[in-house]
Amino acid sequence: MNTYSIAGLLVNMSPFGKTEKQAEKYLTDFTDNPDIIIEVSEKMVQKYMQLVDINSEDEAYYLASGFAFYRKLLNFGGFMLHSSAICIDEKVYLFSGQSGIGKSTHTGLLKQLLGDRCFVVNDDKPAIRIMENNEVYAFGTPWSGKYDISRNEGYPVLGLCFLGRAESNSITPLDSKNAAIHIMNQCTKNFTESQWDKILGYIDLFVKKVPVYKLLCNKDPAAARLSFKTLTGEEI
Amino acid sequence: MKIKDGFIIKSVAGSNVIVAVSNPAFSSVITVNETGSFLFEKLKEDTDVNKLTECLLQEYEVDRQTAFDDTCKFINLLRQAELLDE
Repeated sequence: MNTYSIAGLLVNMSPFGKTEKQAEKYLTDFTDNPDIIIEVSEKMVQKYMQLVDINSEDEAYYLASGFAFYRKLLNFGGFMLHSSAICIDEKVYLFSGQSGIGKSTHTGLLKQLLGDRCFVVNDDKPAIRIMENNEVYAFGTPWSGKYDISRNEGYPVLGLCFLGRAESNSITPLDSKNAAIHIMNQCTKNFTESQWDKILGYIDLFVKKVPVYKLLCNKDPAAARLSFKTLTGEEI
Repeated sequence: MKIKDGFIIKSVAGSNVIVAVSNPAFSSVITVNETGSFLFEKLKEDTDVNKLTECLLQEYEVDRQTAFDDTCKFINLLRQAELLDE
């Protein structure tokens, strides 16, 4: 088993293929007392291949190990939010929404506008953790999407946008009720009752601490200018 | 009729939501209002529309027609989501 440092936790696992490659930069020399041990049996890999209808063991292991990690993350104040997490001036802004809606496209536009001031922490499945003083952080993880864009770093989360497509750009705040439902829709949901209690508790805290918006947008740079201005108060 | 096993109601940020327990095939989140939440609890035991209407009448100050309509609406919602054993 290798030991990795992921989202501030020591994680033991024996990945192969794509997962091993994407996890490389998370390898650590510390091996004592791991917080999380990920064991994915051959049976589980087969189960995932059936469940999501894929024929690659590599891909099935990637999904199964990610799911195991995020499920155990619940014991450390954290959960996965399906989103692209961009770090701007050491603060993270999350862009979430269903697959294909344009999350990576939008953070790509922000990168074009902001250059060196920003980078993507995790392009697909950042680990969200409630840290000391209930501060919300987002971390890169090896489960970072098909283009493997991730950094082994974590930063405070200052905003979250749910994306929808529209011809013209608009952004409106979501109240905490709506925000919580939007978040639930972009999390995994295969939980036991006590796991539900945990994640719903974290979501409750998240919507109290982090402003959440609905961003209807096209793929023009103006869309990124609007989200950036709303999230940071700064014009570009 | 009753709620299928494996569905629970939880509250998050002031909303009541119905979620599935350990069920990878069910990934919807159904939000319900206070009345829905009340009816969901009653539907843990085998019951029917008339009994549920009576329960609503006892709990809330509504007329019979409204209680009946609300019950039917909620039952239809659960039926569409395939959450009912009938």
